[in-house]
Amino acid sequence: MAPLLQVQDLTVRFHTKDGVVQAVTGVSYTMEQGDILGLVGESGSGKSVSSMAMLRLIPEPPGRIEGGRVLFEGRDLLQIPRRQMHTVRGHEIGVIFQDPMTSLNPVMPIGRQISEALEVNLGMDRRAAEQETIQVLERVGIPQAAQRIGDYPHQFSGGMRQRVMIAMAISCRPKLLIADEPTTALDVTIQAQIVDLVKRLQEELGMAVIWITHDLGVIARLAKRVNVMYAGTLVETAPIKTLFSNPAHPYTLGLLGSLPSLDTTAEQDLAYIEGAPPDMINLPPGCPFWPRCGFRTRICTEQIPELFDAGDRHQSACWHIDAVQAADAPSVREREANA
Amino acid sequence: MTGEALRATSANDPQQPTPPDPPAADLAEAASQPFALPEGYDAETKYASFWVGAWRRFRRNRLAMFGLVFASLIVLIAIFAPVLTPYDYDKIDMMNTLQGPTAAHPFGTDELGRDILTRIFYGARPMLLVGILTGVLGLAIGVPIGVLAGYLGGIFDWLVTRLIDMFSALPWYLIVLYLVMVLSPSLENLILAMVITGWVGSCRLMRGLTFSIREQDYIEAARALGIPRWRVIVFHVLPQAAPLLLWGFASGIPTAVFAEAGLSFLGMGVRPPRPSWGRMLSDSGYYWQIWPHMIIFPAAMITLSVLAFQGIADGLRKALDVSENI
Amino acid sequence: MIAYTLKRLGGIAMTLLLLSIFTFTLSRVVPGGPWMKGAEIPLSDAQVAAFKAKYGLDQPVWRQYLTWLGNALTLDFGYTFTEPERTVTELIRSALPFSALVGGLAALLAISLGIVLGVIAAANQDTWIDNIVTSYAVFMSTIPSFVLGFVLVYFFSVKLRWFPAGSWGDPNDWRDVAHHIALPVIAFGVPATGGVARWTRQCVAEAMASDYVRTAYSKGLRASGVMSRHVLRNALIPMITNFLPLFPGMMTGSLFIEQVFGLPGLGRYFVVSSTNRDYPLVLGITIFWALLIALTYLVTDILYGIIDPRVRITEQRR
Repeated sequence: MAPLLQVQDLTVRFHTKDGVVQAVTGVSYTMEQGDILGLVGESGSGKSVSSMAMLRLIPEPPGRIEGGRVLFEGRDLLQIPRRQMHTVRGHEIGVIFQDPMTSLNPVMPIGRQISEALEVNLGMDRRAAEQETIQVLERVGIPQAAQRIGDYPHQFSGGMRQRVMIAMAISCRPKLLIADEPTTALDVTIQAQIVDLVKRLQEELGMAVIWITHDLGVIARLAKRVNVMYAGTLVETAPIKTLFSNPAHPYTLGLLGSLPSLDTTAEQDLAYIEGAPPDMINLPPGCPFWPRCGFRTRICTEQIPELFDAGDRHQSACWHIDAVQAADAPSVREREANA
Repeated sequence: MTGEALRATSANDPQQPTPPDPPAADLAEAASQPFALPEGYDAETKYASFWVGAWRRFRRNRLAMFGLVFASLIVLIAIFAPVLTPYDYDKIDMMNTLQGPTAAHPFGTDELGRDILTRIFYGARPMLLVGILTGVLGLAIGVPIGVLAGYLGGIFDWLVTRLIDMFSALPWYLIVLYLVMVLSPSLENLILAMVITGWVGSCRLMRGLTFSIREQDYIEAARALGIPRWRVIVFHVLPQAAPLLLWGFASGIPTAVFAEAGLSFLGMGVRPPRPSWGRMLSDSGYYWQIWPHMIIFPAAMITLSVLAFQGIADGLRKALDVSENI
Repeated sequence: MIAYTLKRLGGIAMTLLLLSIFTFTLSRVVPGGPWMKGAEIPLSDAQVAAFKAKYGLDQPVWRQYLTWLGNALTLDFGYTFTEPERTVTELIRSALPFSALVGGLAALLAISLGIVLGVIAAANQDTWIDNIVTSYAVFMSTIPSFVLGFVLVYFFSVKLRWFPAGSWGDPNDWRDVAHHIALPVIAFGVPATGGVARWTRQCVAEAMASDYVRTAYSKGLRASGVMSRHVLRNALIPMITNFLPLFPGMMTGSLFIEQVFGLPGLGRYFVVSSTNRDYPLVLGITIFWALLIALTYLVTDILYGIIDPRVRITEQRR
């Protein structure tokens, strides 16, 4: 069966007054129907941009898609004229955004915001759309949905608002749902509810999900496979259990090491990844992670590593996979002190 | 580059060849060479200071730079007017009235034979005086009151708010007009009237800014350390306000220029025979309909001056990235 | 809503009170009066004393003020100094329609033209269209209206003789009036289009860059739907609240234009009465204008509360 989504060598740059931002460079991955992919990375890693670029939701004047193909059910989304993208958005691919307060129109009733999508994408008439809106709101767990369709976003709590956004995104039964950090702005307890909601919806509707986050704990509940991004490139991809048990990239190792666990004692220092996030306009030569890496050698500053095989369905873009898979996470200093 | 990473996706896609194995032996040798910082790589990204960055942004703005150049020109003309022209501004020459531009009188003469170019030069003085003095004095009064009102609150703030409301109830030019009339028209009284209505603007700005800063945690921390209130105001609140105040001062100037021109036009400004561009517009009576040069030059100078100062103010706003709603 | 309105009205009353005290006191405290200003025949001391007695100017200032205040609350602002037969209220009423018409039409021109330009600029951000519109807006907002008035009169009256250079025309013939006030309205309204266009552009551009617009696109809406249902509806709210005050603003600010074109409006009376130290008239006009402006702001705020559901619904909750 043909894969649902094939991203091939996607490259996106932003041309600003201060220079060219290499937001996304050469990202490639594939998804089947019903896959749940976690896209992990820090701010500026390109995780959001790479996903928004697929739907051409990047502001085009500073931003520009400069290479690659995005095959959705065989069709290259990047070749479709922007004016026709509306047929894909909403209907085939739905999006949930991070901040539901600003992502919902504050002066339009939420019921209208949902039925609007139904009318435009599925050609429903007003009444049918309204009925369907109530159904989908109930599905995402909004109590008294029928009474609340006339309410405005500010009348809902944060978690409820996010449910409304989810309802809006799935209302037209898309095949792929992109969730761009939907729980980052919410309380921890609400986070868990939203993750469970998406999980349930995914099982019921069979759609594929890309869940973008910087929080490893969140995707542990949900994803089957994880892509780790750093400085605009894909640095590691693995099934979820493998990633947690046997990371093959120093960045992933650092991320996992920095998670405090229940076993950490009060005397132990919190581990962290040294250094600062990269300057996306002036990336260092070679592998973008070497300024913060404990495994670096000279080749790291000279050649950019490809994605090498690191196990069953497991790849990592690193010259020292063996060392990483064998080790704990040493800091840069420790490593060089030992060398 | 990582174009070959395509191969790495083959684990998900059975149609493509398997991914490369970990680096081979020849690379392993290179890989084992110890780490060395590459040549010419600068780890620290340099950030310019706030003011340097602001100046750069200002420089890129063409209107703002035009404004700066033109305004400087006007200032120089105003200062050096006596040196720049052989005529006196009130030298009446009834033999040469209402002449168009000639070599002897590049801007022509008015109905009393006075050289218009000279009057334009001298006319810059009242305009600049009003513009700058209003701004400076307005700030000198408005800022302290605004900061105190914002910081102390209570009755003092209530009083200040009432005052601000009162002076905002009418368009400022009406209040200025009334004040000038009551005090009898002259340049000094015009400046006084402008200051009386002008301090309100900077006061309001500072009050708002002080309110928002006051709530910040670092202010609470400073007070907890025992730092006295006045020190908090001078060393913590005021420096934050510098960009806003600079912009406030700059944006008051085009208003004042317009005020001087308009009020002189209505006869409320400088007393004759001292020239003022606004006054030259009204003095021309009906003569200008036949001899348009009498109003072309003052009108152009007024427009260009307002444009120049407005350009500077706008350029500052963009360069300093200030917004009125704090 | 009722409580809010009442509170605002109270605030307005207090502000007007303070304003009247301020202007009144100033007028009485500063020496000089209408008998001095440009008087052709200097009045004798006896005549001055008689004048003062007639208008109660020999009383202590605070008593004069209270008398004035008492009358003012019944809308009786007394008689003018310069035309002793006519009351202030009467004069205001006769001059108001002129200012209102010119100011109102100018505001209408400014708003309609400005909004159109602003939307065009925002829809074509950072293109040459945007640059032209923005440059026009900046230039227009810096030209003083009376300067533009001169320019227009020179070209269209003196040179082309298409329009008259001043005065009002025959009030009974609306075509003649229109002919006469065309230039003043244009001279007054066009500079204001600059500010309106810039603010419109900012509001629309801000709405276009917002997250909910991104969401709208992600739902599959097309540009036209997004613009009309999401962008404009949201941008309209800050726009209306800024543009409504233009009407009273321009009705009260027409004095420069009235001077250039010789129109018998309220602004002209204000200038003339200020020159003549005709205090009752000046005070009357001042209070009238302040009241008009304050009421407009109040109406704008109430309107805002009705249009914006965020304000409306939280209000109801209370």
